Amino acid sequence: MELHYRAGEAISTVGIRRKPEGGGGAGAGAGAYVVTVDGRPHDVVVRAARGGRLDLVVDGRPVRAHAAEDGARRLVRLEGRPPLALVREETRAPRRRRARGAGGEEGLAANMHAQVSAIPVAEGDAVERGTTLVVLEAMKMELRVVAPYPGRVRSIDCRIGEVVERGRILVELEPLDSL
Amino acid sequence: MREIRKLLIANRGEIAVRVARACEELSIATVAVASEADRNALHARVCDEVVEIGPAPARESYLRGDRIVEAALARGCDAVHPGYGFLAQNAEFAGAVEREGLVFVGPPPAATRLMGDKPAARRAMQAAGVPVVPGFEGSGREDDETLAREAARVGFPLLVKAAAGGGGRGMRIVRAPADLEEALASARREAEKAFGDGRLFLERYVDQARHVEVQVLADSHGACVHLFERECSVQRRYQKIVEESPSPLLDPPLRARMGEAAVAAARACGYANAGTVEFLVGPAVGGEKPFYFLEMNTRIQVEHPVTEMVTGVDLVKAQLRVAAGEPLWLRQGDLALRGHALECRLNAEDPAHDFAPSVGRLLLVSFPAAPFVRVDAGYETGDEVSIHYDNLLAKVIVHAETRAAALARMDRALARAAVLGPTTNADYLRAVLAHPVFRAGEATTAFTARELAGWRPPAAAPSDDALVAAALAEFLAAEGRAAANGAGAGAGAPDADRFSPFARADGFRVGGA
Repeated sequence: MELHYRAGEAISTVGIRRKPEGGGGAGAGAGAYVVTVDGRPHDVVVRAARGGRLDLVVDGRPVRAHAAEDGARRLVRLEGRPPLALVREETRAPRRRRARGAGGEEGLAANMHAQVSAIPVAEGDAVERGTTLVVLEAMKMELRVVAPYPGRVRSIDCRIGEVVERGRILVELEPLDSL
Repeated sequence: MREIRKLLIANRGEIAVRVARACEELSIATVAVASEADRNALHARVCDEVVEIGPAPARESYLRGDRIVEAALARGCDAVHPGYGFLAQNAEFAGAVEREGLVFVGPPPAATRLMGDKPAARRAMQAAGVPVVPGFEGSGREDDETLAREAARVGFPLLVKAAAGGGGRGMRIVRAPADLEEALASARREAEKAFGDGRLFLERYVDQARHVEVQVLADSHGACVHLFERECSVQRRYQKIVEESPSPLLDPPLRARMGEAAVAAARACGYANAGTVEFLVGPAVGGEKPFYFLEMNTRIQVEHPVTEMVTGVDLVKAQLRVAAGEPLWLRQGDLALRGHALECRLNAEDPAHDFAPSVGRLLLVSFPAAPFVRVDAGYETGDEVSIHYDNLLAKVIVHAETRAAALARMDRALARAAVLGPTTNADYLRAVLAHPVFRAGEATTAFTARELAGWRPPAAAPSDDALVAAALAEFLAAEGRAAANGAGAGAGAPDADRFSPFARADGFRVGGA
């Protein structure tokens, strides 16, 4: 079995082969495997795998990990290490970059997952650098999205009360010197 | 004595769960209140009954005192525990609870009111002989000219603070007289907006200060003891993240003096129940470390478990017992500090993005069971972390014979704790524990800003081990599903999860939204 995972832009391919004489059969998944990562072979014994927890022996070293899946996203954490987010890909082909919307470069994005609590400007307003365009609120924290340059508000792409994800474009601001 | 048989917990998250656990042991029935978003939250699941009190935003649910009192009466409760935050220090709410003939598990409203007004509290403390930070508190409505004159007397740098303040709001550090006018104006504006009260007072700014607080416990018959201190100097943006007891700073004579001052503070405001007197401890002057009253928190605190560990006193149970009118069963001489306890606050926040809140479904939550490790969590696998509430996921608390042993124990506990889904500050907390200044017991309130401002999370480049684990989890899940399907009709797909090494958070839950 071959599986492809993407971390950022890099894609790794992992091959799994069960060893015929692995002492398997004692419980689901327990047994010995040869797992190759981008061609590098590793000797792996699965001691236990249940409830999101994996107890492995990789090349003779104990490796304890937790894993979870969320759509195509795979989260894996080795004990004592930060969690790692991977995306399961069907092929090794590099992902095409998502096309950006027109004027995307002038779009100001939410930098946290939050609720829009105020929009003190209106479409068509000319604003100075530093003017608050949108106020976000999450977990008692208030965050202001401010104009990074003088400009005219081309469009407001969010509503008061709406919950927005990080990265979501909230306002498009046309630089004033381009008018 | 008023027996408490059924109690409403006016809170959510880990503290609501903590209170429910204490009630279970005392055979007190529990009623949870929950917003629509929290209908199936852990705190609602662990209580005997749940009352939905409104939409997700706190001001429409957990801050609706009227609905909470109504729910308590409708469900036949005889008491209300406010937890911390929300309505815990709202004297009107406490008064409303008591007017309905219910027991409020907290101090009398008058004590909360006095301590909530910072200038009034400073005056009361001075009258009781408790040292306060040198400063000026008048009516709070003095003109700028008067305040400038008083500021010169207090000396610079100083703090402009809001009379109704808290959490750093309405507070400004002023380093030179020229900056005073602007600081007064902006602090007044912010305080007016945040508290509807623009009154201000002045305090000398104590540089290199330590935040040391003393736990007190008083009954309603005039008895009061202290349960020693907690050191809470490690803070980020005025939020404590690591707390410990005892404080590495205090020696026995200073500990005794601060304990006595805390008891005097509690007596001066007619306190009953559990409370915390916060002090600043300044750098030594002529061999003496000066300490100053900062404020009193008239509620149970987030960090109460460290005191529970070193004293062996269950503070939440103690709250329930004194609220019921029981005379205090502890005398000061009975209390002793044993070993060292440490608490770390595991928050759903992303250190790589300026600690922005990190929300969403918890795909996996796994805390280690280990000797002398306690975890007070508000969430389990599958629960949702919402933008509407604070970001505390869980508190990890350890107890050990020495501080060094407690640090090692905490580091291992954090290394083994796994949270997948929202990002946490676990690695940041481990960086605090590993820092030489903290290890030496010398962290001041400026520690994180000075020593960890440049900290970045370790790069999570995919190692072969991680890829091996991810792929095997996937492979074994597929195998498990195949085995379940192969087992024929009847066994069916739901059984496949039994074989799956993945944590799945999309499980069916009765009444789930």
